[in-house]
Amino acid sequence: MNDPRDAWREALAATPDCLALERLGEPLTAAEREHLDTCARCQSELALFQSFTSDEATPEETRAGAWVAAELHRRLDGAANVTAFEPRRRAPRFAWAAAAAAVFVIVAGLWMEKREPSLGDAGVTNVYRTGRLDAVAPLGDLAAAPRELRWNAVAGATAYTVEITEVDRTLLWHSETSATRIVLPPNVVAQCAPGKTLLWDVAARRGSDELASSGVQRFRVAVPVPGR
Amino acid sequence: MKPMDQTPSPETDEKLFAAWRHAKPEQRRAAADRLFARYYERVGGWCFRLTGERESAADLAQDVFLKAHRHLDSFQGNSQFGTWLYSIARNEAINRSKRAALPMDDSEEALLDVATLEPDPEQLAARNSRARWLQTFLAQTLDEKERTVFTLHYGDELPLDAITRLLRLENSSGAKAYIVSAKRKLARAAQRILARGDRP
Repeated sequence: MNDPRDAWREALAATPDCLALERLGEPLTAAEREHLDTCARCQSELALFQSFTSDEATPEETRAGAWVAAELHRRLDGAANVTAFEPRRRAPRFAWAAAAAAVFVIVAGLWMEKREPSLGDAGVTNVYRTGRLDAVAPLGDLAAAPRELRWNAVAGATAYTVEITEVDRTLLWHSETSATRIVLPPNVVAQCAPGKTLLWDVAARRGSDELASSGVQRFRVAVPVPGR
Repeated sequence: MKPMDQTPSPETDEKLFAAWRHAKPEQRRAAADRLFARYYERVGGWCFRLTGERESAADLAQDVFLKAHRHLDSFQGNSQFGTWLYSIARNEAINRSKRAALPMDDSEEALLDVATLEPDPEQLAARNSRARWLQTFLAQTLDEKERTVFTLHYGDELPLDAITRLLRLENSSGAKAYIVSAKRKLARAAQRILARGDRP
């Protein structure tokens, strides 16, 4: 065994008997209490949950909480693009509306042709970082696995750090370059399986200062359609 | 769960969520903001306790709310809204910790000793797995606080300073003292097993 923590991680993971997180804020049944009394996993989950619900706070924590709240208002409120959860508008019911929609689709299509298509919830980009850095490619659905990442230059930047993660933010690869493109190593390209969404972002730096960031970008290699 | 709101408000999470659900598309964003803003301070304060640093706390909290925005339509009302939001914050925090986890050091030999103990086959079969055998061993060897700190550190890979702040451990060396004590107890118990053939 290389790392004993792997065995402990497995031993300390939740089991089917463990309380679901949403039960932590509710009155527990007798059976749940009995389980809680003997389960280290559930005891630690409850302790962590109570650290969240507790109103107890040091003055420093209170000040920090208020500062973060103000920062969140600045970064998130009114951001134009965090709307992936919004339902699509209803389809037009009348011919004139359908015609108008068709014109809109054509115009939008011509405009979108200049960009790569974006995924449904890719709209979280460029809305919450202070500086702006435009990612160029890959974005949205792709016909084939990308071979490189590209972005636009930022004035004054001496280096760019890039990162590719899974959608759960597990890091797959990161690197740094002074250019505005970087070739992906073969093992990363191999992980761009059809249908699998990956995230990437790039940050422009001068020394230890971050000048701008692209925010999270998404891409996915399209799943081939049989017969086409 | 009472949100740490800046201003008292008669609005409740349930009312605000219902308002979001029934809002016109162009009003949904603002409706979601009103709901989430009630939790900015609570989530921000919790993230600060976890990270110990304002900017990192803001970055973590930002990711929490972006994820919550994207998945708000998955909230079914089966729990309190604050609990649902907590589950997102908890998962985001632990995922980050796991990405930043440090390699094993020499002081963790005791863990290796325990993890590689061979329980007798009958007990192993009765408990289905090595994992369950280790759970029992832990329950019989450590007290509740040690188990909690041990689980958060080795199960969730939370840093010791974060555990100290989250659990408000006020002893001088915080969570580290509990880990040191836990390792000592586990090592002693493992030696007993090896020497006498005991089983937990």
